[in-house]
Amino acid sequence: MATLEKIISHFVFFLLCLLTFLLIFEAQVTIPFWLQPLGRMHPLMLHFPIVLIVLLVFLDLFRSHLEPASYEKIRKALLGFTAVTTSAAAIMGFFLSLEEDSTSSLMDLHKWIGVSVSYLVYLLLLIDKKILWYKITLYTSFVTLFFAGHFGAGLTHGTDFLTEPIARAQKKKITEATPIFEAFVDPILEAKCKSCHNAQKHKGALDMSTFALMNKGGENGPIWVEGNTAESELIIRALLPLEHEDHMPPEGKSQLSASELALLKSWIGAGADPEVSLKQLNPADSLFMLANQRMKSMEEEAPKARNDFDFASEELVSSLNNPYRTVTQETPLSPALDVNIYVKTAYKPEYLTELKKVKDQIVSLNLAYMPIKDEDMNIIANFGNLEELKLNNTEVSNAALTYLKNCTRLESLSLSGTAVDIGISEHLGALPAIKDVYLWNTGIDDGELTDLKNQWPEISFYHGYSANQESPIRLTAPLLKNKNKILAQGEKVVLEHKMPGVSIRYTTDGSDPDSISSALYESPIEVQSFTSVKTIAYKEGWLTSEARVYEFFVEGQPPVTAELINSPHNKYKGKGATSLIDLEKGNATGFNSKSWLGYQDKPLAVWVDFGENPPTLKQLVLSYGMNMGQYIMPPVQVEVWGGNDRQNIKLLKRIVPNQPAEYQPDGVMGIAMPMPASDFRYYQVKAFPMKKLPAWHSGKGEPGWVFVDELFFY
Amino acid sequence: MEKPFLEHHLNINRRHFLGKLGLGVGGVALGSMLAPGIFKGTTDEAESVPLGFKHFASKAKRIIYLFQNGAPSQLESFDYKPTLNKMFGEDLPASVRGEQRLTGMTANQSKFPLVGSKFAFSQYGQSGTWVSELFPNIAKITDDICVIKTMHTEAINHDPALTFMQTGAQVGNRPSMGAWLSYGLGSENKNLPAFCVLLSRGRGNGQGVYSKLWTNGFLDSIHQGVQFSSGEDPILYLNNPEGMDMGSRKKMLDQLEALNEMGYQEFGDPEIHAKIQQYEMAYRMQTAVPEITDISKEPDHIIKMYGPDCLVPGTYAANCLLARKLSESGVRFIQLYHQGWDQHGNLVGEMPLQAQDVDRASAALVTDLKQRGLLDETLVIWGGEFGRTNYCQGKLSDGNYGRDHHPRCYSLWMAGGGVKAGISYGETDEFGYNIIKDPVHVHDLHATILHLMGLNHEQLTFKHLGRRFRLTDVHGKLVNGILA
Repeated sequence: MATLEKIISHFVFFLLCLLTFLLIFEAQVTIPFWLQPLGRMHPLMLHFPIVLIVLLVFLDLFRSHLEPASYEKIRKALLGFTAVTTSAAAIMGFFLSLEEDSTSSLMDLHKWIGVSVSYLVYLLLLIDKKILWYKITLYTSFVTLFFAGHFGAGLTHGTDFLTEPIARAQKKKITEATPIFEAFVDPILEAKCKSCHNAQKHKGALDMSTFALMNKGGENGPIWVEGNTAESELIIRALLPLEHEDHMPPEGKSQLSASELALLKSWIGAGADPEVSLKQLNPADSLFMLANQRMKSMEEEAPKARNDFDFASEELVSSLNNPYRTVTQETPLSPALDVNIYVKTAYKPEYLTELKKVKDQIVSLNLAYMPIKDEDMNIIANFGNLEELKLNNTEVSNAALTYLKNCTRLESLSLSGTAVDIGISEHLGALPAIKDVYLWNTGIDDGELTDLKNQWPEISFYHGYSANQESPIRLTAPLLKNKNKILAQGEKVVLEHKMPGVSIRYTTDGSDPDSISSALYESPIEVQSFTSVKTIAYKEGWLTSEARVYEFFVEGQPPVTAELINSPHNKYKGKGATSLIDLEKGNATGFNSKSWLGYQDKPLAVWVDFGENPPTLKQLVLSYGMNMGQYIMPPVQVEVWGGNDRQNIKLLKRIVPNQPAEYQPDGVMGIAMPMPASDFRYYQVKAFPMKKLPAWHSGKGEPGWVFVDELFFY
Repeated sequence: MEKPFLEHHLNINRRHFLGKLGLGVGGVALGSMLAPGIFKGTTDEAESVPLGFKHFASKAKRIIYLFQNGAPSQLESFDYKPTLNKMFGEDLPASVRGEQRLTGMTANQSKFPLVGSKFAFSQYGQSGTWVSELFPNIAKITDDICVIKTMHTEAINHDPALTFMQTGAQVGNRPSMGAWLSYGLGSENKNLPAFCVLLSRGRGNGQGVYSKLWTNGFLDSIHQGVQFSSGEDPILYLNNPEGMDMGSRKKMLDQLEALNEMGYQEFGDPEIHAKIQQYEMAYRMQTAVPEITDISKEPDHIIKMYGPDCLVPGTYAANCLLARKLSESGVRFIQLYHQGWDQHGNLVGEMPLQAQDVDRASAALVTDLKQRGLLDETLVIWGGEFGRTNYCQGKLSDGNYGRDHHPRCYSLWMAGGGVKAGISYGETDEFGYNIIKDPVHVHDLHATILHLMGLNHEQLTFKHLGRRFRLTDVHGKLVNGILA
């Protein structure tokens, strides 16, 4: 007998070492599938310790009634049996716990209490002789066992399992006959008001614990006036601005939502009757609608079973993957496969047919944009565990749904952008699990959608955005296709708008284009020297775009060299005089670039040399930048002088450009300077910056800048 | 007689000890069979879940991050603080400011005059979420979004704050969020990069973005963000040169691969394999990308929904539309940056323009994903790198003001992807300066985003320089309150 005892004690010690190890390295432990049945025997095994420990307690209680020798024999045998089964149950429980994806606090509680029972029982085995310690440990084990059992039962049956029948008896099911006050109004007040206005704590002398007390009101009188929301204190206060002292619930507390407030208002408006129920109301009544909506949202979803099928082999899954089809097992714990097929032009029918090899594992399938037809649904009909199917922008029609009746778990079906219409209504009944249907951009209009919703109240239909709800919005301006703002001789201006059906009109004289009389853009526009093209886009059902201005400079006669007379500001030297004749345009956001020369305290002055055989010229165009926020203004005066030697030149043209009277958008502009036809070798060009910025400018009185990037001669 | 007795006892104990030891070791040995690799020492393979898998099941598969670069003011968008309007011009109480350090731009200000929003706020939707009048379209989708009002960060200047938000560290060279996700979950569509970056610029005062924000850091370079061009062709050089057809292109690439493979055999540099893969992907992108960038098949009202700006390449609206198309095609992480939110001055002038640029398209993106049944599996994030001060920077006038950088609280919203819809999370004090309930640190946000994507932020690691790095460094706790 002593040997058997020893063996048992050793065996239990061994089991506990194993358990301890497993607990310490829990994160790294994986349970092979063949061990899982062992874990699932936990519910069977755990009844042994429960019974045996209770027996040990009884044995201890009736100790005096037994002969010491037989008592000891029975106790030893029982204790050994208890110890073995307790630690075995603990290990099995541990295995079982690993099968869960996530741990809950209840599970943790049960686990650690269960584990302590097994250690305690081993302790019992060890202390054996010392009666007092034995008793203490035994009764501790008993109490611990009770809690382990209780929490364990909570895991399998739910925490409210014990109290449920009582709660169920108390909480009547809400039906159409339940008074609206009891079903919907009181719960709102309970959640939002009663934490301060209850039987124990009545702020403002208001106790809302019963309807009668509510009706009585508080120190400021009754909280509602039957049938008159405008004078009901409860509504008035809820509608006050949040920061108002009298606003209820007070700032910082959970506020009434819009729907809750609507329901309260409607109920008070209807007479604040504590007995009125949905059944007594007219369905067109606003109270009926609000209460009905609330009732629907309270109906809970049933929990779903999933992933109760086998894993597909790793080789099979990887063989199904190719650049255009991804088959993924999302987590190592679940056999569910997620399949996506991409790139329409690369699609082959076998991409779908080959999926039959994993027909049981496919849970989610995305075929959006693929050339899938109704007949292809034959294949999808085999996927019995499919939960989510996306057929957006495929070629399917209503008939596709008839194939899906075998997909008994299909919950979500996306049909946006397909040819389906209201006819799907009759097929929806064949899909037992369907919850969400996406129908944006299909043949179903808003009215038909309402019919669908009425016919299938348990399904959520998503219709998304429809343009009718909105007033027209503004189009964007036409875009310019030309890459370069300097056009070669003969090059034309090309405008475009990406929106189909848009008309473009434009002007070239600086006036604002309109959608009636201005030139209609039909073919590229011819331009000369400096032209600013002002353009708009319009289309029926849209607001006409804002006008957009594009400036163009046509390539002129190239000078041979240029030489600066005044050097530009140190920070804006560009490439020196070359910047002015290199046919590179600057832009109005980057005045630091090599294209620009910037002047502030002196004017730009430059010699331009046309060499030995000067051409005949009639016009100069000076291109300047504008960025008023950065004090960069148009020049106040521009002059062009000409002559055949540098000492002997005469003024050909002077222009004083109009100065802006308010902020204008940034841009690159041109000033055209017509001059008498001449064939001089040398020209001198001057452009003067503004000495003092005008009064409307934020930098009034400070000096302005002038930035020039190019000179064109024609 | 005593001695043998003692010896006997000792013997028993020794035998006893050895016996028990044997049993104990046996138990441990048996246990170790269930935890393979436990005694192998720690190697890189010790990760409990292999790469390419989620650590646990989750809804979200993809992320679209609408980064509002420059830090939009929370006080003019989602965090309604009427007290600031009442206390207009009064000095910020020192007790509220506490020890908060200031930027060089306001540190020398003698007064910190409080200023409330010039723009009106109202509550919208079932949720009663507060939104300012600057965002009328986002206001319409409040029941689909979760506004976090209590984001806080450690940096007070743009570059470190931006880098922190994107990579989990203020210094550069750590992998960005998109790179981590590409590394952890891989690519869904083998014909497109797993991580794409789209840039746009608003009309407000802007701050730069740099490629370090979408870097792969120490991860394999295949995980780097691919920046799309803002021009007509979002991906440059995708067309074959004249005279080259797909067949000869493929042949050329096959030969190139053979050569590269020889290079790999010789040097063993894994970057060579990354290069080969990139060439192959680029080849497939030649067919995949034109299908995605083609907007001619989009119905007219899609354009109305995003706003006609979506037809102009390089705008925020165009990027949102492109982001939807990329996400729909399985791109794991799409990062948008919209510049121009740095309103130190002229906030009243600039913020409406910025809001106008992003409001319609941001809301449209959420609605568009929803109407295709994609919102469940796509996480949309909208927000900047920090908040803005409740006091005015520079001179406070009746008509205009500016706000400096503020790290202690700012607002951000998320939609879809397993986030609770229609809630506002966290509370700031009446001054909009400090958090009084449920703070969310940047690391916490990262941990939560990874969680939504099915990844445990503590387990997604990469060993580099002798240490295991994570996106959340050694911090980050889940924000359970926003999980659906």
